[in-house]
Amino acid sequence: MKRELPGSAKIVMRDLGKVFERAGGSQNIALVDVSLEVGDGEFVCIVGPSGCGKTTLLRIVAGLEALTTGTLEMRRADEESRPANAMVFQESSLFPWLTVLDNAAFGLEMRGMSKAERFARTRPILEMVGLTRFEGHYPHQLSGGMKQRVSLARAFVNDPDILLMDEPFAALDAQTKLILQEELLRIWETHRKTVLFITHAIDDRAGRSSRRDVLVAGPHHRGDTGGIRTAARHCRTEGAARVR
Amino acid sequence: MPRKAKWRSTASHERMLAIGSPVLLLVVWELLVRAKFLDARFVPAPSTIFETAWQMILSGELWEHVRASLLRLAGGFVVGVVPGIAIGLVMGLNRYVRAALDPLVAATFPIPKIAILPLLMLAFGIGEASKIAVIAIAVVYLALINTMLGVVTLDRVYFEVARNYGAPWRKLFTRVIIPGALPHIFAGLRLSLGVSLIVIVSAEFVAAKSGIGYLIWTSWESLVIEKMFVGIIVITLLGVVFNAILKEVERLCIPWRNE
Repeated sequence: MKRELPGSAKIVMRDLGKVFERAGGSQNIALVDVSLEVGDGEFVCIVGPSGCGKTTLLRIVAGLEALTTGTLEMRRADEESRPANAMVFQESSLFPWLTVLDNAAFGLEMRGMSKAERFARTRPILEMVGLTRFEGHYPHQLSGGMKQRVSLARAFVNDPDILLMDEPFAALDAQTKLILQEELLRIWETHRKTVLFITHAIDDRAGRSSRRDVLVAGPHHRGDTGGIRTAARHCRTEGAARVR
Repeated sequence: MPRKAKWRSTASHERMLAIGSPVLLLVVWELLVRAKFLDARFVPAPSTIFETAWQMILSGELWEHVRASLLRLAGGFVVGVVPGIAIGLVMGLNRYVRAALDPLVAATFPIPKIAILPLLMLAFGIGEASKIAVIAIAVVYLALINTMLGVVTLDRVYFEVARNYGAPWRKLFTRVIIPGALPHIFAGLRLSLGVSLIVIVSAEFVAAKSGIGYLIWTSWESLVIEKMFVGIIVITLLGVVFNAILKEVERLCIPWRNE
């Protein structure tokens, strides 16, 4: 994928670093000098072993974690009320006290949209993920796969610039995972959102797709690029290598 | 749907057992008294007790006592539970408030609240205020501790979702924190209800001229055992009825609960 125009980059990270200060003065270095550009409409997978800092990276982009060093820029074509990003969390993060419809419409409700308007906007998205019949159900009445579909819908309804997905299908069985990954790719094909997708499984369908950028994080690929430091005693994300 | 049909019959069996076992107990009790296995002077037959209760209802005596206890219960419950939930929410949300109040709560919670009734009577007089106060003080802890627990144990991910989706503070409160803590809040209310019944009866034993506790105690002192039993049965019924009402309210307020 070519990226001639710097203006087409959605996310630009420069030498991003994150250090967690632990109680007692010790430090946990999660990210070291990560530089990465994600272009508009790209589907970028970040692959790496557990604990290497993938989630931390995503949480920084989501604004849930502050960065320690470096810069993070997110470029937006238009300044408007829709949010810059929406995150699909790893575990089931649906609100147990809201119905499927209310859960999916949560972001719109937080932005102060009227009930009629937000439901009108949410229903087509629920249809897209195949949950129209379940809009009145509560999360505990759904299977794991259905719950993650709702999570996906909840992120999508906001029409965010960037979709952030933190191992969204990790807890699902292999078959459901495969189906949802296919669906996610199908949705991505039509909507061309910028997606940052995290997975620890190298064989994830989304991660294998040759048309997409795959980032391998962690010390496992030292030598891939010149910028990686190899003195990694902790497992951590040190730079990011582009693999075609 | 044979499975559903079977489930329903199990449920109706359970209901029959639930009603049947107390009835059976009453029948056995009645028979034991009539067969003189039990001394009717100390343990009157259920039929005698119901007879007495009926006369007390007709004369208005029973209602007078029930009314007095109900007013104290309602007053004490509201005065205790409302600030309990409010303070519990603040403590759950703000770690500094929690750090400041937690030791106070922990130190004073184990005091049997009936022990401070004399102190409260000094402060509020011997009238209704001191009884309302003792119930309020007994239930405020239960509402407070459970509400705080409900907020503190709320999964962090819900706050992060709200933050990621740009929830303003007011909506975070009404759509995430309150519903998230609601199951614990109701647990606190159920406990408060049970404790308020214990406390009101104890307070009326020693410091009242009306109420169900007073009825039980004076009946015992004058050895009108039937009336004593009427008092015990009425307070039991009140507990059962309040619990059923609270359960129904809970069911309406927490429709998402997995049963």
